[in-house]
Amino acid sequence: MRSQLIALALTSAYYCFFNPLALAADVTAWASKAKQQNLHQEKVWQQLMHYLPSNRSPTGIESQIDDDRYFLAADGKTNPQAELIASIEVLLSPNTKPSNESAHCRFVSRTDWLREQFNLEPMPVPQSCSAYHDWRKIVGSHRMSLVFPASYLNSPSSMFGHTLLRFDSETTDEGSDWLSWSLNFAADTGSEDFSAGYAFKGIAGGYIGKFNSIPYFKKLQEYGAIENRDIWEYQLDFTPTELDRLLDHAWELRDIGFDYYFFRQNCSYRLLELMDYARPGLNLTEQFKLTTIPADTVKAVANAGLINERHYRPSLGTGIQARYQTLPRSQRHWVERIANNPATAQSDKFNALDMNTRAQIARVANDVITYRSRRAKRSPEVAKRRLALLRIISELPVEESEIAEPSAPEIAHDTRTISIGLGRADKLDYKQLGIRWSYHDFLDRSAGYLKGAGIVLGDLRVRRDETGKTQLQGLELVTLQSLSDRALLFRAISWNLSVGFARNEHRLDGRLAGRVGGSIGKSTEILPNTVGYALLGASASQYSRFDEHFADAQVQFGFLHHVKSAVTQFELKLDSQQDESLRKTAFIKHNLPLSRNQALRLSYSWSKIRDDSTEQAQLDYRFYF
Amino acid sequence: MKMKLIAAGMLAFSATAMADAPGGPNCGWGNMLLEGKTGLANHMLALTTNGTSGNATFGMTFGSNGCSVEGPLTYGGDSLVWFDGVLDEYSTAVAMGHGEALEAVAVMMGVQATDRSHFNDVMHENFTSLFPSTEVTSQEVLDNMVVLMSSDEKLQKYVG
Repeated sequence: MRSQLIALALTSAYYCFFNPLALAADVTAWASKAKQQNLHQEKVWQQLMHYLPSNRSPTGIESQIDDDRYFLAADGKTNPQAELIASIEVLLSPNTKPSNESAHCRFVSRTDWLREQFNLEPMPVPQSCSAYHDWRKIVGSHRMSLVFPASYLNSPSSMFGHTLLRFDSETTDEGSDWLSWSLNFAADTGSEDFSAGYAFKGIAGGYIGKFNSIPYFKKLQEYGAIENRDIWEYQLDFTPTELDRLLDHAWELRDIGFDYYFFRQNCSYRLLELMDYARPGLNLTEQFKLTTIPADTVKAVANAGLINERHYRPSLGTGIQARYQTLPRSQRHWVERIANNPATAQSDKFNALDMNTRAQIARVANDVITYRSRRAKRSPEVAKRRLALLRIISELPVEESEIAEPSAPEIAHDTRTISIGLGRADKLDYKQLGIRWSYHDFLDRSAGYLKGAGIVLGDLRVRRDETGKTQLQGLELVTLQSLSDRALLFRAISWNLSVGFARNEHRLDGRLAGRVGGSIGKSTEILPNTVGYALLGASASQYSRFDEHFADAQVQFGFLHHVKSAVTQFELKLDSQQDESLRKTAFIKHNLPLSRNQALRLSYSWSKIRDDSTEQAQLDYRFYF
Repeated sequence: MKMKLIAAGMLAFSATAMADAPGGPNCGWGNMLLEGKTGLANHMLALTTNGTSGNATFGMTFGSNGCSVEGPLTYGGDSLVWFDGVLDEYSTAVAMGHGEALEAVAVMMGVQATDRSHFNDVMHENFTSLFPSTEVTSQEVLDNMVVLMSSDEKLQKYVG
């Protein structure tokens, strides 16, 4: 007992040295000063508490944090002042040896800011907050990079991209990024990974989002090897002091649940908030009022002049494709043979090839096995082949072949589009105005996007013909397109899906109908820069009268041809219509970019049903913003 | 035989050091002893857990293999549980004689920049003794590395 008292006295003395022991009277005085000065309206306080204006809150303000543990006042979520007073009472009262779970150990940024407001000396985070110190020790604050794993084919929820942060310590300079740590904000989806369910719940706000911080190489494995996404890393211009601020606040947010909304308050939005807090006056979040598309946040960071350096990391799949292309055509068949049976490498025929070709073949074969077995537990047979291949590789000189960097996402066209067009259909001239909320279709300039992939949201077209009739021509709510050109070694399928309102000029006087349709099939590179496709599809349409509904089937053949940034699409389509005979359609579309954010699009289509044929031609000027 | 003895000696030495000062500067390779099987084949299991789902960890634990980096599983302040997670990439990098995984392991082991290319060469030339079979565990690979390094004039100072 006595020794405990002495210990207590000693600790108090120790802290008195740094922190004049706050008395109840002091706390009351600070609290009333905070009220007088309306401190709770200070920007930093709003930032730390993640308050935003809100209609559903009685006070008109609400924190986006959906977790009671973050608030020290019972009504802290909607009452910034009450939360501030409660924070003063808890955090400015002395606590000599707080435990890891205590408020003193968690709310380190909040404490710093409060002390600053009342001109108190900054107090180092108590040593007893060992979890904080351990984490800050392993996550370096020397340098920070914004990491953008680009979208990948066949997964609509990845098409908007994703962003996370990477933190390097000083030793990273002389070593490898593999030793760095990541900070990532993600929806806590549990074990679900069904894409449509993910998208729906994400959009509707059904998930809780949390920060997580794990070694960076795990992220490289996840995105680069498993999900097959190319990764862009942008080293940012933040000072170690600013990064200390950022990481301290991130620490406050560990395991804390936020409302997660796919379109705005998503991974990228949270990272911008952290950057805004780290450097006062940056205000990156203010540019994102409605949607936060990860690719757009990369552009915002670039526009703010924050990018020092860019680094491209091709995914496993991209690496395989690129190295496969460098092999002489006549030798490419070896890749499959050696991957399937490494013993073939001992054959005289293989050994007759020059050493570098053999090395490249073995390398690609090894990557192919890794790629194909990456999602499953490797069987003993696969492991054996893999080891045999690595032995072959280890005996051959492998020169690192650099993979050319594609166009970077930050120089891609902007994601909203407005278009003005002139056209002629059914022997009538018309003018057409189009507005597309987001994002990219596969005719748009592909620089910075995945070739052959598209995601279109909210594409509205209004038409006025020479007789003065104005009508809604169509509204695409969601359209997804995926034409894979990676058929060489991968068995990717191509598909498209669309939901919206459209007109069929051959049916019910061309009235507007709700339409859901989709196609699935194969595509392959038939000539350099030309991807040919064959798709089978079905659609359902519903007109305004309840009994006016149709189900149709269709088959499409066509190709996409890229010349520099221009794209041409040609397609032949056969519709078997439920109520009518076969409709034949042929169209050609050509998109010619004039600059990063401007393009001309020309389209011509011809269609025939029984003896009734129609033609349509249109020229659009498109502006992206 | 002699090799095995050296390896056993290293392990025994390290185990004692660990007992004395967990996480301290004397922590050696004994720290690397991990529970469970972490062979090349089993390693793939770890990769099947997609990190974005239900994985809201913060620093102190490694998601997929459940190994904590708290406590004694560190080397010079950094985690060596890490090595288990990159074994696959490491085997490819060793086979090729270069690569980020090789670079990272060298940094982790404290190999100076001037000795890195030599380190890479030694590992590359001894691929078969590092990865003798598909059943090799990350622990065994590490043991094999220590043996190689301790019999190399330039590299022995990093494992002594």
